[in-house]
Amino acid sequence: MSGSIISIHNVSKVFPKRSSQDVSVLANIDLSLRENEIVCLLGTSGSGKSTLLRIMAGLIKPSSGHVFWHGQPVHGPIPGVSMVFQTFALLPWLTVLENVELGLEAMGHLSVSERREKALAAIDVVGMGGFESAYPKELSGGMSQRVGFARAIVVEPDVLLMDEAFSALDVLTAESLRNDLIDLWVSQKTKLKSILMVTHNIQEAAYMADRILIFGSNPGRIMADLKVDMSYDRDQEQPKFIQLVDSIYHHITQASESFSRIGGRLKPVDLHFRLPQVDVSTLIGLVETLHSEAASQVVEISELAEELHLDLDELFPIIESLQVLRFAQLKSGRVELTFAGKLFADATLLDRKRVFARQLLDYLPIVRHIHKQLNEKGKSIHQSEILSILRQKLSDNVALEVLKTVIEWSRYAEIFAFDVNTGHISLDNPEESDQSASETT
Amino acid sequence: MFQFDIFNRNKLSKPLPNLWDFLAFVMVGCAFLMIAGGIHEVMSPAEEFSASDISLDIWFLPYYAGRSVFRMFAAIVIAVIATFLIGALAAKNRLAEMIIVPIIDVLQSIPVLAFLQISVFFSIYLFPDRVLGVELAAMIAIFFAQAWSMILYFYQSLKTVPESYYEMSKIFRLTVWQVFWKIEVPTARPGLIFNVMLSLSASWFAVVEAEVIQIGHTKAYLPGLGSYIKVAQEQGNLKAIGFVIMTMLLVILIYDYVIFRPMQVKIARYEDSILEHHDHWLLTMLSRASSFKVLRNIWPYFKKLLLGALIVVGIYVCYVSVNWLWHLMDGSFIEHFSWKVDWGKWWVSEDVLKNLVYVTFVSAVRIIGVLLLCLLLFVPLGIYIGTKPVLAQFVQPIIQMLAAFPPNVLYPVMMYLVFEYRLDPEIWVFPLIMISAQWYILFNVIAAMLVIPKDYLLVVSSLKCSRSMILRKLYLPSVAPYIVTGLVTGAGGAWNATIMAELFTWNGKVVHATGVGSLMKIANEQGDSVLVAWSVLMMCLVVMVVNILVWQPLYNYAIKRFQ
Repeated sequence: MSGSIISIHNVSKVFPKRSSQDVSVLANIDLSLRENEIVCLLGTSGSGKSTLLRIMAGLIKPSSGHVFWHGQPVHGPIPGVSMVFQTFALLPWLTVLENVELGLEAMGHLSVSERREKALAAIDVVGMGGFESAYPKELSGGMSQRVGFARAIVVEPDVLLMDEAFSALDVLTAESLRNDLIDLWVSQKTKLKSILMVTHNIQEAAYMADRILIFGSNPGRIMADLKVDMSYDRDQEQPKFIQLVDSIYHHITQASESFSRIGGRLKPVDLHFRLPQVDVSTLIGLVETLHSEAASQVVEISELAEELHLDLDELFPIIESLQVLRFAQLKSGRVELTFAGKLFADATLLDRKRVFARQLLDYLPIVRHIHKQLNEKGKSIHQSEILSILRQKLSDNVALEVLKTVIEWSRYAEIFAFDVNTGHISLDNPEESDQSASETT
Repeated sequence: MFQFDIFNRNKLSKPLPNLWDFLAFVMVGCAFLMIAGGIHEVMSPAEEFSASDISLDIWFLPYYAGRSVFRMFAAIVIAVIATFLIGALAAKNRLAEMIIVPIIDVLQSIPVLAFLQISVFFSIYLFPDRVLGVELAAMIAIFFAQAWSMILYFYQSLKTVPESYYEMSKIFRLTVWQVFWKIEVPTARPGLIFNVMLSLSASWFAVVEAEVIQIGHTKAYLPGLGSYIKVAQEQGNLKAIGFVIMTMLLVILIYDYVIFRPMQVKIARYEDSILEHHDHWLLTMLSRASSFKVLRNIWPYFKKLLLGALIVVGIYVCYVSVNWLWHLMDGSFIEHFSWKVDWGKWWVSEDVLKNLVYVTFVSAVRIIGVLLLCLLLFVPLGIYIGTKPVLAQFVQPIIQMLAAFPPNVLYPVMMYLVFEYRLDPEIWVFPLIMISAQWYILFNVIAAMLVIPKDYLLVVSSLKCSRSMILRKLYLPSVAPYIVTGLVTGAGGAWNATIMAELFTWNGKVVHATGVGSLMKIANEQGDSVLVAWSVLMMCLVVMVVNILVWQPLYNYAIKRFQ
């Protein structure tokens, strides 16, 4: 019988904010982790999936809703749950052996020699035998994460939680580590009953999961629950595998499209829109790539991701930005350049700035607002004025990020200038005033 | 335990005594003798501590050095314990944070020696019939010389412990105790050790100065290097001064080599990115001597014992402080200091106050002058050394040595010169204050030069920039924030030095330079505690106002503008 090990009911999480309203990170989530399955939470960064993982580990309390461990309500970290971290979280002042032993140290009932024995066995299982006396600084990322796995399994947990465990590693290392983990899982050498992993890598999810939960953002929620019916000798060239990847993309783009459109048309953004952090050169790069593709200038998003070697995390914000500026649009899983996008791609260096400026003023209310203010007041305004507008709906950090992006884009478009020393946004070109200043002296 | 292990041949590693054990035995024995001797001396009944008890015979120097080191070491131990307790409290508790951090910020800007007067009152009251009373006064002054920056550093580094470490500790359900020793203390350790090393000069300064304690109208001369210097100075014995300078240098060298070097090597083993083998014979001894292997096995039990001892000491301290509070309410405390609640006595006349403001102003101007002079001399020197990395590598440990050397050990030499050649104290006080401030500036400039990215240097050389242009466009902007840091610490050192440096004594003769320091010292020797209190207050006020109005804005500007 496959009972549920951890289950959560109607969990929400809001982070309190100083001013008007709270920021909602997760909304009404139901999820249960059953025996003998690897479940993958797939979503872009900032979607709250890591927060959900921490709620399930008992590290964070949900704002509302309940977490159950074998049917019992949970308050605080669960003994049968272990975790692997994106940053490894190995203590640099302890050797590999001491780091692994640390996991056992809190279990008071073990003698020193028992502890050592178990730790050595766990280190062997992950293939790190011979490195027992090494300090973490001597290890590569892949090796460090292997030690992280050893520390996680040495306490013989029922459930292993993985928070982007492979995303800090290079492609080859990540792949070998994934394979080894699958082997370990299949061989049943450990007492693991279930694995829950968080990732933004679609290939990774398709490769490892029995079940994929696609996560949407603002607020975080589960958009789709895909069952994967494949054995663990998955091959990326397999038609079934390619089909699976395509269907994941389909689900994700659908989620994103439904979010950005009203009745088939692109939804205009408001003054407090949470602009993704993408720099201008990346935007230009993608427009040029789309332009140089087929004559139709329509590209399947999964192809694009593969061609550019970009994760969901990296690709989606760029497409979203292009869509906000109406340089491109996402339609049933395909990216297509708009008329403005084609115009931009064909223009000269200086004309591009003009096109970019027009799109900014037409489609980004915050830029329009700043421009209007500057024209009316005639002189500069301070950045704090803009920040206070953004803060009405966004958290402090996000407001600052949005302002940074707005300033960068507008500087490129030469709509206004910004002086970092004074924090003033103004219409005049700082270099000219600098020159006039040096001329007078 | 030891016997048993020697004959237990079944064990994998046979802990047979070896040569390292012999060395370890000698060292542990010496340390034990010193600690036991120190405690015995400290706990013995009170003595007179008159100047005539201090012998200028150079064969007494090792003994005096031992006493000073014991004092210093005891103070550091107390400072470390206070750092762990107060720093952790401030980092963990919002309310405590709001109270502790501003208080420490203020305490940090108060010249160390101002505390000495206050600590004398309290500790002699606590232990009137023990040497401990006077010793404690000296230890507290030393404690104040370094505890504040250590506490602040520990507090700040607790705030920077990566969140993932805490999450990891929760997942593996480590106890608060384990988190503290396995995660929090190790995070702060490298910086904390560096911090202690940096404030070593300030603490030696305090050790030397605190050994001669003014109690009412008499002076207590605690046996130690500081008293030796003072007596030599009073008797005008230049030869003795020369010997004590050499002894001091030797003590600092040994201190650095036996305590700090092994710690640094140990940290470098896990911290340095370069995979190079770090070694130190003390560490080799620790890992090779079989007696230490045995010790490591019984360490868990010993740890519990130690903890028990600490708790007992803690209870005793609580008992003493409760007792003290009890006395305070009893009224005997007030009588003890003849602080009859007579507020009129604490008021000073307008003339005295005017004079106080005037001399404080003179001292402040002098310190500004000293700092400007430091900038003029040491920024170019630092930049020059910084452009030659090989030279910098060679010079840096030497400068570190010199910086750790307490300047007040050198004062008598200058004072001798002033009297011998009838120099003007108003001018010759400058170099005395300068040696307390200059190293910080030189240190920081060299450090800043060494972290300039190599690419920048390639750019300026490929563009064939002129020397003055490189200086203006690259070197000065790079070192600017560091100069400000150097100035802030340098100014602190300068204020500290002012108290000692403005009064020149040699062979019974006295002259003084105008300033709040000399005023304070003269008032102190005359037993005028009212004037001492006022001048301390005045000095603290100026230091704090300057901190808030000058250093902090300057620092913020430099950070924003150049980094």
